[in-house]
Amino acid sequence: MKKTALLMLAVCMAWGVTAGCANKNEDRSAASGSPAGSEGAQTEKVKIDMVIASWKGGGWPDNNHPIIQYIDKKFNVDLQIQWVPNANFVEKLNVIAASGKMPDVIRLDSPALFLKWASQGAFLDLQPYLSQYPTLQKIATPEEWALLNPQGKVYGIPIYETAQNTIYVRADWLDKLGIPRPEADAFTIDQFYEIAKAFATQDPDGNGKPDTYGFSALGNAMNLGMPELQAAFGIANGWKEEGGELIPAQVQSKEWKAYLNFMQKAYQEGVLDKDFVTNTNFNEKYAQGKIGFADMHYQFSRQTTQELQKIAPNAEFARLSPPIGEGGARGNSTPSSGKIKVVLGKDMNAQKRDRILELLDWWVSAEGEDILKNGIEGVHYRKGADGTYEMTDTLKAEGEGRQSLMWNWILRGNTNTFNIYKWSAPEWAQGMEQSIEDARKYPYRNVAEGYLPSSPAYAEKGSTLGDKFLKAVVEIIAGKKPVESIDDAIAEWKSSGGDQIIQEVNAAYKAKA
Amino acid sequence: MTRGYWRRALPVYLMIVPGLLFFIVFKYIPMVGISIAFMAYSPFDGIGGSEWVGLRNFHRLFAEGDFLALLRNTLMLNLFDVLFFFPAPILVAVLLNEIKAKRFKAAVQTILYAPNFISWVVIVGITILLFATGSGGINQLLAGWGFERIELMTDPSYFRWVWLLQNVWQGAGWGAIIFLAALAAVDPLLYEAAAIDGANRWRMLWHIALPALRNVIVVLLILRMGHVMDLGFEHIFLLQNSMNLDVSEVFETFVYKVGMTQGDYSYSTAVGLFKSIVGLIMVLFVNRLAKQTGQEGVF
Repeated sequence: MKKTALLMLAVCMAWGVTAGCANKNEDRSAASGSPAGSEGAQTEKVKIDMVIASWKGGGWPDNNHPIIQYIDKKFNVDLQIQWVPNANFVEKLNVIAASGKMPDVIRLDSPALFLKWASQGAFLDLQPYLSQYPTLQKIATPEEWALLNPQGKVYGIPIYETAQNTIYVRADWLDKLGIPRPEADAFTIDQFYEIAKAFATQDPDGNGKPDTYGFSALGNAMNLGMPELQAAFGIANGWKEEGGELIPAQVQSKEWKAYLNFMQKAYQEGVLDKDFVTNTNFNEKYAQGKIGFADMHYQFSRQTTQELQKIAPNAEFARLSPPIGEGGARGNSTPSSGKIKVVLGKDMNAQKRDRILELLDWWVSAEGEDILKNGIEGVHYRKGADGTYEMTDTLKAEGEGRQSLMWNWILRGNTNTFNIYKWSAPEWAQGMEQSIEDARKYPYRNVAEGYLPSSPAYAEKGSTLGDKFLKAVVEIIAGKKPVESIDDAIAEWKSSGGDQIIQEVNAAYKAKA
Repeated sequence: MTRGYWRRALPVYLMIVPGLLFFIVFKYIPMVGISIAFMAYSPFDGIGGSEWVGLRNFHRLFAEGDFLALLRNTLMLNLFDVLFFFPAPILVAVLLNEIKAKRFKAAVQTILYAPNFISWVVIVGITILLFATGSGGINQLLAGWGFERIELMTDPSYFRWVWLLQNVWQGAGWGAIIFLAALAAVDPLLYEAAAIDGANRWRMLWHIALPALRNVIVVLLILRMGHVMDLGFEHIFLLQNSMNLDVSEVFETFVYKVGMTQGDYSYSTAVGLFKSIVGLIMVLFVNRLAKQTGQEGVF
């Protein structure tokens, strides 16, 4: 009898442990509540969940960051940001959606997902409230607010984007080989190849081994990570417009053949990185100092130069312009503002909705930008006696820019100063702005961005078809197949769904025009 | 069923309860989710609100242009696995069993099963560092000696072998543990008797060691057949690149791409369900086969 009782006790205890676990984290928000701020003292504290993609370096380790504390106090909210590494972001969002618990605020980088969920009624329509928040309304043009939205609805706040990337070159290699730096107006694709070949064959790093390449590429992206090269051959950045019709890059047989001839030769002659197929990003490739021409933006070029100087003191990535192809074709990949959205979940009550919009309206104001970009005075930076600003040691240890994650990864205004801080050196600020201004001189846009996601065939087959086409491109470049075989890939793309995509996208285009 | 019986048996029944609860809560109740394979599921409408579409998702799977390629790739990799990887731990165990020096044996065993604790990300990363066509150490050596470079990571004809050899390297030592345990249970008298009868090492292996392993091998083979559609997502996904997709796209990576990155839950659930059914059929089939050939099955 005694044994039985003991056993029952054990079972009950095992039960109790699991049951106890279940309500452990319910009162967490109450516990972390700080004394109410001045403005919101009379109102109720509101908990706001955000799910945000994080990039290089990851998000903040917890939600006690000084900027979050500042916002919590100012708006009487409990802001909980969940940072998800960008590589898993879409996957994570799908899991969140499957669980049925929509966060309050999401930044959605995938237009396809935005459209899919908007059509399923997941997001709050902001149209009725926008006029009450004039600062927020001003961060984008009416077209950008309307992009990807059905008539009369606004399911997300458009994110401002600008062209930044262009071709950079190892200036120290040019000097070493005695090659003059190409002029922006005379930098042809042939010259690009000539210099790239010199980089590959004349041992620019001086280690006596033939281990350098003219340029590299990525095996997992349709533009191979070097969109400037495709632009020079007249291949569309996704889609182009011609005679009132939208035309996808996949059907441009003539352009592809010229481009593939160029790339195949580059691969054969060792000008193109032999490992491009397995590359998924350029960070390490460029920092190892084996690549001469790079696709990068100003900040990336400064960081890479810094890393390179540890192994080669004179190393420097200097900015060029996109190479010029036949008929003057050239361009830097130019994103469309409004393709990325910050969305609000539809299930929130009016109090929470107003509080979030109030917060976002302040966010993009001059005062909000100051806090969200530069951080908190005394914590992240200090004002010296002479009126100049400098970073605190805390921020130096953490890394410059780590204080601006909310500004750069969640929502920011429509200026090009997103990486320029109060304490930034004037040369840096100027270089940054100049680089963006230059990059914007050669626009290379995907004109179908707003219409693509309204094609059901694209939603169902677009990415699979794209993968297959990319596979053909990669195989041809690596010399496994002749250049002419791109016509087979084009035919296959069209017959297994591409024709339908073309038709649907053009229907959407004409309906809007 | 007397009072006395229950008094004795009750504690035993109670002991089953936690295990039973585990299966009901974590295995049986989630099976309700299978129903989304027959729906056009939208997470915002939920299981109750989504539209039923019958077998449409299955039609789509079988009509999919890639279905045969997926099936072929999955089965080919499994065939490689069963033919070459499955016997590897047995071989390792038998060889280890022949080593008489205890310390040496322990050292070899540890070295062999250590790779089991290295994750696929690291293993694939090391492989790429060594074998990448341009910057890989081994290819640089080959090129330095005037040989041709081997495109181990991108040439589709190598993919299955790379995958298999990595599996063997990682898993053969660990898998040998269970066989070693079975060998340890063999009565040493049998070996002594065999020695007296003049049996050599090969004879002893054939007539004593292998029969001792027979039951374990059969049970493991039956269980293995239940996973005939599973290959381990992570490993294959890491090895994939645009050049080897023809041979490396299997059901698991396909489900991931469709379900997780494109958010098509219903379709990916349908593919998963199809996989499970094939696995179940294989288990039943092999179990039956084992019984017919006079072995003990698993049920």
